Amino acid sequence: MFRKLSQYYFVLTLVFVCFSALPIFGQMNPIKFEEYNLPNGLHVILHQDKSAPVVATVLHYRVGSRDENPQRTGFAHFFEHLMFEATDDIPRATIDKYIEGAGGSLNAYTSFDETVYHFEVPSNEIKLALWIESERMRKLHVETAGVETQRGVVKEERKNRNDNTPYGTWFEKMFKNLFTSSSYSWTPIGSAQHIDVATIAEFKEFYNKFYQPNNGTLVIAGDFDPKMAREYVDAYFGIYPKGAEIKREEFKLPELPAEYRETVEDNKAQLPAVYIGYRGPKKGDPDSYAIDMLNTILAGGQSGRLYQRLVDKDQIAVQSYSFNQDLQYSGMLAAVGIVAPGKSTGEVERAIYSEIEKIQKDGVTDEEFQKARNSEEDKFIFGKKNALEKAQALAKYYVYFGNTNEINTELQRYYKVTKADIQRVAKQYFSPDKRVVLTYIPKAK
Amino acid sequence: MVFILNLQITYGQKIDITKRPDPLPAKSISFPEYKEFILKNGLKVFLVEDHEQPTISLSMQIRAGEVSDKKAGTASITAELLNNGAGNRTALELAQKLDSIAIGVSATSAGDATSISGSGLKKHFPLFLSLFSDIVTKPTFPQVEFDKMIPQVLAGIKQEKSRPGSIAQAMSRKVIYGENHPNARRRTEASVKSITLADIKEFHAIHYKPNNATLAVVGDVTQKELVPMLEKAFADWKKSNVSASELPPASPMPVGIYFIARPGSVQSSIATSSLGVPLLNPDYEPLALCGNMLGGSFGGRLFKTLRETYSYTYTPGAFLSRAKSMNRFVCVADVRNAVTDSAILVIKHEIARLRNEQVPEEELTRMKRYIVGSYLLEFEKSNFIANILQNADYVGESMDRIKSYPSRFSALTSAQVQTAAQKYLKDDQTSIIIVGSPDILPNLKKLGTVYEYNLDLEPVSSNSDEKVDISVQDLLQKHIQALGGKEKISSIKSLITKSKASLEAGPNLAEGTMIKKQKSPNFENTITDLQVFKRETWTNNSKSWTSQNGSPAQEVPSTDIEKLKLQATILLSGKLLDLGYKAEITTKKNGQYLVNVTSPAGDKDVYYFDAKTFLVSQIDRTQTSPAGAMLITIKYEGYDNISGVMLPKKSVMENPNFSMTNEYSYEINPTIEDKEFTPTTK
Repeated sequence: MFRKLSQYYFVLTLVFVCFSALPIFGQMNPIKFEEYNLPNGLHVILHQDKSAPVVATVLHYRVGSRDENPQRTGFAHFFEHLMFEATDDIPRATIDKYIEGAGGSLNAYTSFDETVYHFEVPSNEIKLALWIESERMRKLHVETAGVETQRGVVKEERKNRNDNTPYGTWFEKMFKNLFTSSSYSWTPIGSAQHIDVATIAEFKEFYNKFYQPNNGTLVIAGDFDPKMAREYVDAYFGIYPKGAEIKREEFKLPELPAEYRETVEDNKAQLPAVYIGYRGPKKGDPDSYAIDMLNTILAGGQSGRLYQRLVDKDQIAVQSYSFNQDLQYSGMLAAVGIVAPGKSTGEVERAIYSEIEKIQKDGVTDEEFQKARNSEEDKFIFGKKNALEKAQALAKYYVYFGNTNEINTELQRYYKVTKADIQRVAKQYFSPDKRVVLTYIPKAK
Repeated sequence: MVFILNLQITYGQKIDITKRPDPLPAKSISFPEYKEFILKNGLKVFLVEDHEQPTISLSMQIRAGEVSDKKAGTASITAELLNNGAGNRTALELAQKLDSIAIGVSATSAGDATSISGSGLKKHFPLFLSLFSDIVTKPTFPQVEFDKMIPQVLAGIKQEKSRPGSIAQAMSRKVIYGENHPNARRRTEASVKSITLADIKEFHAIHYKPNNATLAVVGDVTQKELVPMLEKAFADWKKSNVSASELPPASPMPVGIYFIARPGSVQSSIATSSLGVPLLNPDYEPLALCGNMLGGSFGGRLFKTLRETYSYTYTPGAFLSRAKSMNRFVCVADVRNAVTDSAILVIKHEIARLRNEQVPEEELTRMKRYIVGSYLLEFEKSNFIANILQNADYVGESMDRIKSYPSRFSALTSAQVQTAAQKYLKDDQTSIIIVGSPDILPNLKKLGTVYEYNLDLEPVSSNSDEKVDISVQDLLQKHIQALGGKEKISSIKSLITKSKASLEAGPNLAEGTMIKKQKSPNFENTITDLQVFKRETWTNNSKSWTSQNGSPAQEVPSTDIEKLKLQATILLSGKLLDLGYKAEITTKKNGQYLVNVTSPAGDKDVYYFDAKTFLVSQIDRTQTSPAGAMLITIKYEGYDNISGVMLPKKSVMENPNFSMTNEYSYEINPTIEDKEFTPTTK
């Protein structure tokens, strides 16, 4: 879906300005924005919000772990770190000093489909944020000193996240087995070994392929003058030529042959746990809205079905929840139970299935349906209150929906979901022969 | 929200893209608008209108927290129980109602205040407000919910003891404010066990009063809409006499080094501490800036030295606390054992530099811009403003003073920073708190007077150790006599120990049995069966296996065999020296000899021998795991004479995560076939 729409945009809208139409759904106050492309293909979205003297910038690159060579995983995330090193005009270890000295903050994250860099600065430092982003886009020094430092830092991060945390390996194992033989089968943190053996030339090639204006979406949100902002964007980003068109591998996902089960001994864990994963709908798929609502019914608050059954009534789990991670081409649905002392993983696993089966058989109640609707409304509106959140959402809607104005209208997609849809997706996606079950057992010490 | 704009807009200027861009003229930012009014029942309300989206949030601040506890823990348990039943709804009914309109209400109590807050869409506000009012003013405190809560709190306390950083902070409060000062209060297992439901109800009845609270409302609502709704929702909540409790002045403990031994620690948690000034004292902000210069963000000096120059730590920091009447100035770092004393010297050196040299202008300006800039960025969030208003009201800070904070802080000079450091950060007024491995104690003693405390923050009687009046050989000889004599011990060739076992982890209890069979010299088979969790181990002369939950037995790596063979010895404590163990008496206290025992395989345990009975009363064992070292204590209670040998009736094994109790019965010299020490399914 993304592919088609983005082509449409790049072909038809060289300099395209849109003052968004203002449909009002769910009582949310509409978010106004304007957007256009630079001749080099950089897509720019401006959202003025004068409620506070703050500017947030987001630079969203369409490069995630799925764009990596399977023999060189972790590259996209590695760049998230490297981007704080030196550029032509900025010495090493200076970017955070600039931003903190200006009273601002900065960060970045990497996912399967994207890498996103962001700043929040006092509005009079808008140029500083744009200048740093432009330097990093094409003037980064991909060289030994920075690469060596960040190799060490990334390894510590991996230890922290995966190797030294209870159940820390579940995410990697889940994607490996749920998305076998596809480009979602490894996770953004990648393999420490791949990063270790990669050469400077390989890093440079990756940088030159993906960190190009025509692979990025720049959002500026907050208290600024849009006319002036356009001048700055022209000056800082207009200097770069368009990069070569990126040829991406088509996403292929073979059918899961059967249920996959694995028992993991974990010496960090104090309690056993069960992680159950299914393939879910991709981002923007109508079913993904029904799935979100199903998750609220299973896991929303203390009245959620999983909490009530496993934690409160049967007291076989200390924690139980489910969630949905939607990606550009597929998604992961996960249900989790952390087993109470003295109880077994089998009991917890069976209880989770029995709660899903009840919904498959009998559907959900009117109260639950209303609760799920209200919860989606609440999340949708609360997620659009500050400049940075709005900037991130604008980038997401442009990139994945091909329609930035979904920031105002996406909620409508939840309203279309019926009770019957929720029952249907429960049957369709939570299928016993198409799941990955990871059982964690504390390792005897 | 309104800001004064004096932005000069100039178009078409040439931009040099190779240089850091100059900032645009700064906007002078004024404090956002808000309204303040008082309900008929005396409740003061702050309203920050924010019409960006149709949402409303509520935050009630009650002027009572740990500081008001009669039994430490009462305030926090009261807060946590608020939404487990209120008005005419049970805990479940309340959760269903709140979840149905997507509202989470959280209640927390810390220091001198309790805060209850939640938020939701405007269209649900009438229901939200009525539930919120029930939760704050009409909690029902059901006995069944109280009974579920207490074990959870006890489990939390146990886990706190495994976090050295929080132990160091709790000790720092004691050292700076005084051993029994309300500001140094901390809930313990004993204090929580003594709390009754009546105490909770009483705490609520005394402190949760409209004239002892403020309410902040933030969001898409006007004062005109809001006032009648609040008057109605809180109509039944009546004011009453609330006596403001004045805190006694701080009475710091003697300046020195306070050491808390945490066996097995691989890092030391350091917290240097001095008494600061009250929040409204003119010296508060210069002293706070001293904290920023040392530990604020990546630009702080401790980051540059402790972390970037020496790599002692990843986590240095420094801060001045923010309470009304008294505060602490603290520098913190978690460092490797071996560099504990060096790191302390580096921190002291950095504090001395603040006293002895003026901070260079450029460094000072960058730090001030960072602190003030971060503060102003937060103005975007209306809840931040509400928080400032409620806190200012609590501490009695005027709005003029609040509004002038950015300009006042930006004007602080290097000379003021130096003066504050000279006045409050004197070397002879700074105590040092360390939580870490006992191994580092000798090095600390070189730095000054060391006061020893335990993990419950009680003084360790080793400050008055008794004289060790016996050699280790004589002690172990007496122990052998106490057990029943060498001959009797060696006559026991096989032993079956059965026990009724119960495992307690947090609120959960599992019960079952343990059967251990031993045959000399070193055969062993143990089956632990806690209903659903089952574990079996085997050790024979050359090999060892384990099996969990009925899985096929797995062989233990040969590196662990020696260790397991020794542990399979019958009446091991009576054979230590014969088997090549090394033993050394470290001290005698509380009528117990403490003996460091090292096995030929390298395991180190501490045995406690009772000085009257010469029987073992406790063993401390440190187990290392990738998550860090963990101390396990096994206490033995009550010995019985079983066919001529003394054997314990009961043991309690504890670690930070669970405790396990065993009540024993024994069979002496039964017949056991050798094959029982080898698994049948491998």
